[in-house]
Amino acid sequence: MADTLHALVVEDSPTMRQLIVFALSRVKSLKVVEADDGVDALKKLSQQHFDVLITDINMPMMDGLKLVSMVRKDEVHKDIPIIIITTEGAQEDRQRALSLGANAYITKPIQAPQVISKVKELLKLT
Amino acid sequence: MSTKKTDADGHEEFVNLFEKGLSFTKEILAENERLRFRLASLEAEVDVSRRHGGQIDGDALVEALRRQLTELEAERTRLLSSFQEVEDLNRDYQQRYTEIETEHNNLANLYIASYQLHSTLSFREVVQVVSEIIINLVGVASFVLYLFDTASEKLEPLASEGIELAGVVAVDLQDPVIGRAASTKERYVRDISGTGPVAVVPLATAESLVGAIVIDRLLVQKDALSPVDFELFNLLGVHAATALSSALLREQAGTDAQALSIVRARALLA
Repeated sequence: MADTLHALVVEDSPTMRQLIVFALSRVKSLKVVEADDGVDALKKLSQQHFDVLITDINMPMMDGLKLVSMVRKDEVHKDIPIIIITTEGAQEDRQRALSLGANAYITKPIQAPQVISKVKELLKLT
Repeated sequence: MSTKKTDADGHEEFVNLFEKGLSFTKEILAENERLRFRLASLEAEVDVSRRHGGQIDGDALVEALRRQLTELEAERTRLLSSFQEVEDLNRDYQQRYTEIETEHNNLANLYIASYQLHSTLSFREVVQVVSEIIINLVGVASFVLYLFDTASEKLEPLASEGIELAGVVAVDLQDPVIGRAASTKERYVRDISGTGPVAVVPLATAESLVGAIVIDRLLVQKDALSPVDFELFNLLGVHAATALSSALLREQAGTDAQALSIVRARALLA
């Protein structure tokens, strides 16, 4: 495994994005790149390698479900661990994302330890 | 954020401390094991000596062994006591670490909320940020953001989540819960057994009332408001009021107000 790992955080809300980025800043050797929506995420995925993808579901342009589906169909990124961010009430979206290939989910309101723990678990850093 | 390196260092220090504690505990256990082995060896020596019609002084040997046993017991007690102290220390550090971690996360939430509120002068974006803070940082399922309209002297519904805005009516300042909280600028929080809104957060600058946030329902996974929620309410009470007020006034004033003029700035400071 490379010394530096890279995470892509896909979230249209600047507040939520900053919250997630702040949490991930405490994971050693993890560099975080931000994307506003699914389209921006796909663009960034085409530009560099990422070790984990964290995405919201409800976003403009391209939502998280579509993003998960497209990433899983992509030869280069099909194995990247994906964490989705959902609300407690959105169980259908969560199930759909998991069935499309997401590896884990985090429920809003998110807590930093929860984000760190999931990312470490998927990156096998624990 | 600038605390990033400090956080990582703090975490590393804490892990080092735990590792030292673990190492010390292992040393204590190894020493205990060594002493037990030594005692067993001495006992075996005496046994062998007796079986071979021993040429050693039995009484003196027993005395020596007793003395050694007493010393070993004292040593064992001391080691166990040290072990307990290390365990207690570890537990204290663990608890302290958890407290610091929680405090750290709370401060991060407050920092992010404050940062986002003052990151824009677009009224639409400020309203969006206020809503995001209430939904994502506090964990609210339904709420209404009211703006105090100075002409009608009523709290007019401006934005909502989980409630159809069209169905929300303006609130008079004489209203016993929402109106009262707004007019007195004192936060209202419902008793556990009470009915009505969960909380009312007045939004006010030092000069005037700007509006109020009325929380109707928390997310299902959130049982009650926590201390950091009240800190967020304090922050919103002042910072959301300032952000909403300045963004609205700026947009109402039109393009002229969006140009920065050093002449005006100096005149205001004169």
